[in-house]
Amino acid sequence: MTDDLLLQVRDLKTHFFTDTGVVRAVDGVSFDIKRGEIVGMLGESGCGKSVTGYSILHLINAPGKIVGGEILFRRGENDVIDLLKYDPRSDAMRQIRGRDISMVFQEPMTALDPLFTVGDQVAEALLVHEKLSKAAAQKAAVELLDRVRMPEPQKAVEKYPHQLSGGMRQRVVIALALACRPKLLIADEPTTALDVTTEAQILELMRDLQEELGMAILFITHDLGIIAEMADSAVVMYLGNVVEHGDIKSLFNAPKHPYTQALYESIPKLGEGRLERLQTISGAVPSPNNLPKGCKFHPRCSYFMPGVCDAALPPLYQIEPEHEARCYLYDGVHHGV
Amino acid sequence: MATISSTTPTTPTPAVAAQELAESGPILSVRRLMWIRFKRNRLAIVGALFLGFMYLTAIFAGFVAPYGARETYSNFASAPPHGLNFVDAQGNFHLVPFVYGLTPSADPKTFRKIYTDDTTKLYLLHFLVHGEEYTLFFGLIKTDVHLFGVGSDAQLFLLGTDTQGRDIFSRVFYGAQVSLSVGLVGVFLSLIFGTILGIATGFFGGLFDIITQRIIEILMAFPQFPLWFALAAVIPVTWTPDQVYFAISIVLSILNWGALARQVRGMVYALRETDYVVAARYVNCSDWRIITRHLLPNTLSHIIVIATLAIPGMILGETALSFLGLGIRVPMTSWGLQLSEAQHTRVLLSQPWLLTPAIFVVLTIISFNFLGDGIRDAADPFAK
Amino acid sequence: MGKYIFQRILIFIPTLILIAFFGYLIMELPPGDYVTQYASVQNARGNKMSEQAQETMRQELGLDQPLPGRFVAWFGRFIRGDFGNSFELNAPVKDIIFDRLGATLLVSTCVFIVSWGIGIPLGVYSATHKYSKIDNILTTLAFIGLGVPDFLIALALLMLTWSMTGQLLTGLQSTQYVSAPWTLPAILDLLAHLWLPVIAVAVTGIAWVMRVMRGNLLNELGKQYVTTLRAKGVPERTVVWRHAFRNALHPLIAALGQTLAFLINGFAITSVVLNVPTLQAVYLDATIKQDIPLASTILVLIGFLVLAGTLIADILLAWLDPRIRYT
Repeated sequence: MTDDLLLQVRDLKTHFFTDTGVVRAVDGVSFDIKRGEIVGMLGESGCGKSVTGYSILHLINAPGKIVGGEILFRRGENDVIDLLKYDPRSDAMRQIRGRDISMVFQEPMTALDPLFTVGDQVAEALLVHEKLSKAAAQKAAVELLDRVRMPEPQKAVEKYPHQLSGGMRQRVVIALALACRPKLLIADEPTTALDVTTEAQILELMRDLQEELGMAILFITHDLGIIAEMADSAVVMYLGNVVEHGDIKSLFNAPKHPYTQALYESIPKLGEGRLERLQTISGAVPSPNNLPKGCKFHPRCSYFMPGVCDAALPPLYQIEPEHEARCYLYDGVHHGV
Repeated sequence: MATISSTTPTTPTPAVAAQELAESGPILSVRRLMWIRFKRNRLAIVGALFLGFMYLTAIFAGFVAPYGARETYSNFASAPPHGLNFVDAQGNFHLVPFVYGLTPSADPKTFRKIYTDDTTKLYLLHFLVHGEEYTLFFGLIKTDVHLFGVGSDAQLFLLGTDTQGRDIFSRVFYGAQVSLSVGLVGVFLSLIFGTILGIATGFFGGLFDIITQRIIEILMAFPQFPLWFALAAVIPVTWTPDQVYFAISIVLSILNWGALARQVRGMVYALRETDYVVAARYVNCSDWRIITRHLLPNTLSHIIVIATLAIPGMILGETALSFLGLGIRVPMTSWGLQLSEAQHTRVLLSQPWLLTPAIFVVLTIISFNFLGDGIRDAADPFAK
Repeated sequence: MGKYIFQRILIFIPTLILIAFFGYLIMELPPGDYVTQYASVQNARGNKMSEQAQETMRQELGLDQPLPGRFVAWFGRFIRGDFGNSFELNAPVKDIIFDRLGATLLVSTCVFIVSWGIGIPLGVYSATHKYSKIDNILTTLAFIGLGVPDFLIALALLMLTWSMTGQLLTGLQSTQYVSAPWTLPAILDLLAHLWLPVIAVAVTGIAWVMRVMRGNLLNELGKQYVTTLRAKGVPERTVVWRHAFRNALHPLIAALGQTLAFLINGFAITSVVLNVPTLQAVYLDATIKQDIPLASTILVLIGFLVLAGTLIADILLAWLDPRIRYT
């Protein structure tokens, strides 16, 4: 793993063994996260982006199981480990969670234990990984809440989750995710459940904290606008595969994969003719039990090439250094778009 | 910026959309999904099979039982189980099982009855024999054909006899008729009453709701068993056994309808605010229409689950009441009544086979529990 | 929270009065009264009671007054602590109840401790080892436990011990210890008898507590905050016991009222069968004989215990749950 990389996911496969069949939520996903980079993970609901996030922290529960791949993580300067080699319940894995890699979740309303004060829960994040006295941990908790711009942090520590609004609770969740200064923060749709104003505040907070702490963020969302605003590079997922990835500029200026293009087109933009219909992507996301053969997007793709696209899953073709797309249009034989 | 104007994806036509939906895989109706989930619960299937067996034999009790419900053989009273044999005293194997003759005598010291097998007399088991006459389906069919028996000279007391000389095996099936049905009748009554009241109070609210709720709360604060005892004791001695039967089922259902009404009311309350009910109101749907077409179907599966789970309690209640002499009266018989003979420990110790109806009670209750649990899991997969 | 408790207590008293009234009413429902009962029993023995004698008896017992008047009078005396005399046993109701109270409380407390003491750990284990072999065994046992009526278990245990030891363990004490002082052998004898009714009723109790605990804990373990805790790196044991368990306990405490009701009811027939001198056994007899003072008093007492239990459970829950405490 090269020196500038913090996390390298190689061919990750996480499958769910349900009563009605095997759901291949993540089916061979690979991407890199550099130190201090903000990587956006983009896709519709059900494409496997959240599952990828949980897989990195080895938080997949039955009936799900990580069945293959490796996740290389730079735990120390010369200490690169494969997270998947560790038993999810081992102490080693436990120490990575919350200390080296943290996660922030989508639902702030239910993310905290209702029986403990907010201060106790933030302090817990510290006490689990560091040898501190209770008093010191409480003091640190106040500082952390101040850092996440919680109004009146001394009073806030005494409050219970149900006494706080959604935005406040999300700040608390961010506070306890950052308590031990992790190298990587996985943010799973952290603002989806918040109103637009709060969302803007939280995003600004996250940007500032990232600058301050120099940590990397894997920002999982379905919102292109957030990615455009926050991320340095992005990974686009569809039905368990990476279909395109690259740095933000080239991805948004010239999206190559038909899916990415369609996503981009579906956003109404300022200045476009007001009487035009909104663009949608034809068809529907297929059910996980009935996946298309070959390229999984081909039934909905306007560039579908029979015999080619439905034969086998295309590999990732390089378009530019660090910009790849999983589409036969770029295999050198066919003309790209 | 690539131009895709010539091949811009468009919204699909209805025909295309329909085809794509069909290709996406079989859509299972809710009912079918429930059935699939239910089938996977093995315990529930076992429970269902056992109950099916019991109810079937109860309906055809007269046919399945070798003896009538009140057929007494006073000279064979308190006989232990006297079963079928395949090998006789000489060591010969008989394909068709047989019983020995039964010789009653008395222990000279304790005067207790003793029964010995007379190995010289062999009586083969016959199928479809004639025995005491009985009726099926409330008197519609009259016949005297029994599934099996050993003729009038011999005695086939598979589970022994009680203190009056009646065959326990036969009585178990006759008792099943009452024990298994009282629960159903009771649940049915509380279902009807509870659902009507629940929907009415939930839907209309107001003073009617408040008063009814208070009454139900008081009713539920009442300790259950004492209430049953008291109410059962109220039933006049002069009533016929049939009237007593219905009275008992009403007594059992009284506490239950309150609980059911409360739950239904809660569900109706929640549903009242759902978008589709509000929409129905906007379109000026009549109250009756809203209730029958929107509220009722959505609460029905829950109601059925609650009702099924209440049946074991009712069976237990009837058994308990009859055990203490407060329930079903002679000449009707139920398992509880049959067990009441075993109430006195002295009797029990010398004739433990009097407890066999208890096994049926237990198995029935357990089967209903399995079944109810299976139905609940199938109807609401998130409950576990 | 103070307002909440105040409201609950306010409802407590009228409910109790209503229970007393309905209880009294039910007592009056069967045709005839204590005197007719008594007379028919005497009749069966061959002593026919004349109408005159019956009337005199009625007057003595105060049964010739109309119902509302009787109830008010009875209730008036009741509040002042005068519980009247039992018709049947011809002794002050107070004494009768007092005699039986000890046994009732002893058995009830033991059943409670056993049910929760065994049920909760088993429930937690079941939930954390979901679908393991032991969990499946426990689940099946729980179903059986919930299905078998307590008095049948009592009978079965009685027979079992009799066939093994030749002793008939009815009642709470062997005859020689009944009025004797509390020496060690007496206590051991008590224990030897006590376990029978306790186990008979506790089987259902354990099964119920275990199932509810398992369900609650599984529910909690599926919630979002548990994932947050795990993502924080909190050890699994802490997640279960410090967080999920405490949350799962709440619905159980809410059910404390129900547990109490179960404890009080669950005894009645077992007491009769095993000849244990509890309040429920006395109540049964009193109901059949229409012994109004005794039956009504016990009914109110039982109702009071159940209501008090529910009230305590609600207060306890409010105190433990910050969501209710700080509203």
